[in-house]
Amino acid sequence: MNTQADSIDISKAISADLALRSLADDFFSKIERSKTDVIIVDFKGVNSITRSFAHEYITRKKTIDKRIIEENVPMHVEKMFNVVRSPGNKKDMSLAPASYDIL
Amino acid sequence: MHSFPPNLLGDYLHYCSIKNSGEKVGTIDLKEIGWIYPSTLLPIVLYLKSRNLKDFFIKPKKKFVADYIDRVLNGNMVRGHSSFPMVTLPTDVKRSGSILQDIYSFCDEGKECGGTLAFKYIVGEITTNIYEHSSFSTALVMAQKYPTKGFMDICFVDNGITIAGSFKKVGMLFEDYEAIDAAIRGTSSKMNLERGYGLITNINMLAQGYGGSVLIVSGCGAYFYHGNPKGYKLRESTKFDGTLVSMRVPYPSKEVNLYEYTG
Repeated sequence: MNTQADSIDISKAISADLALRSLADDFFSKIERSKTDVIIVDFKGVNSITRSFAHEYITRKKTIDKRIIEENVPMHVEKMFNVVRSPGNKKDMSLAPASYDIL
Repeated sequence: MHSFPPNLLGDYLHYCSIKNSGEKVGTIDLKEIGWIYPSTLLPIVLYLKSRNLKDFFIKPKKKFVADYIDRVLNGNMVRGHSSFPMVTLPTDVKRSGSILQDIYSFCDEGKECGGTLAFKYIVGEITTNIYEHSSFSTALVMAQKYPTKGFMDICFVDNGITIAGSFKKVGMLFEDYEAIDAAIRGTSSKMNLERGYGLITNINMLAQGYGGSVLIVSGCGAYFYHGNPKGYKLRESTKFDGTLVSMRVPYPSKEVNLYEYTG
């Protein structure tokens, strides 16, 4: 077991805009291959994040066999993580139509 | 609010009319058009590309319209310009980053388009849906600001398996209009209750946060929000071979609080 920590600047490793779910998946696949058991993910410089990215990040983090520590997490990223952790009721959010016309 | 000139659904039906006439006479004729919006132009280009006829259409008589189409189809992005030319999304998602950055840059990082967080969220969620669900071979995006008219359009089209096709892959059988309805209600083809929020959030934010319009057309189904939500079952003549997601928002748009719409 290698308890020495590796630090990854996520804005450089992926982008300052964390948009696509698959990129979060790739990110964790790279982390899995790391020889260290502790990974520090530095969020400094992250400008934006989507829910899909945040969801994939949290999901993969739960299943990975390493300790992941976030640093310098901007408020807007922390808020998105919280949104994913405590999702709202989809029924209350949906703007679905009441009926369907033929066009 | 909702006072924009011709609506997105009208723009899409304009495409259907041009395509249907074209199929009768064997060519896409844009000679008489007075102007063309992204939700008309992008489906035309996808239609021509799918038939290996990329540049094969009769150009508009009006020179400024012909020049505009030429610029959109062949131009490079010019900072400060009002058009984000048509761009093809690479099939390899890892190569999509630079295109997203170009869209953000065109919109000045979203500053006048509802703010950085909201704007990038919308573009990112639409793009992630295309890559995750559509299995496209061709996907296009373009954007156009209309500063004097006070709005901006962004349109995505792909020739993929449609929303119903994405559900079908996991054994969930829907008609096209039912599939759109399911997606709008948050059903995920990944069979995961924690997923399926991206589209709901986008529609909420575009409709209620921006006061804008959203059009989704996929196969023989359509959803249109312009003041209120409407759903459509499409005939063969208005069917779309793939999925179109288009949005029209006020431009400039004041800052939208993303987190009011994320649930």
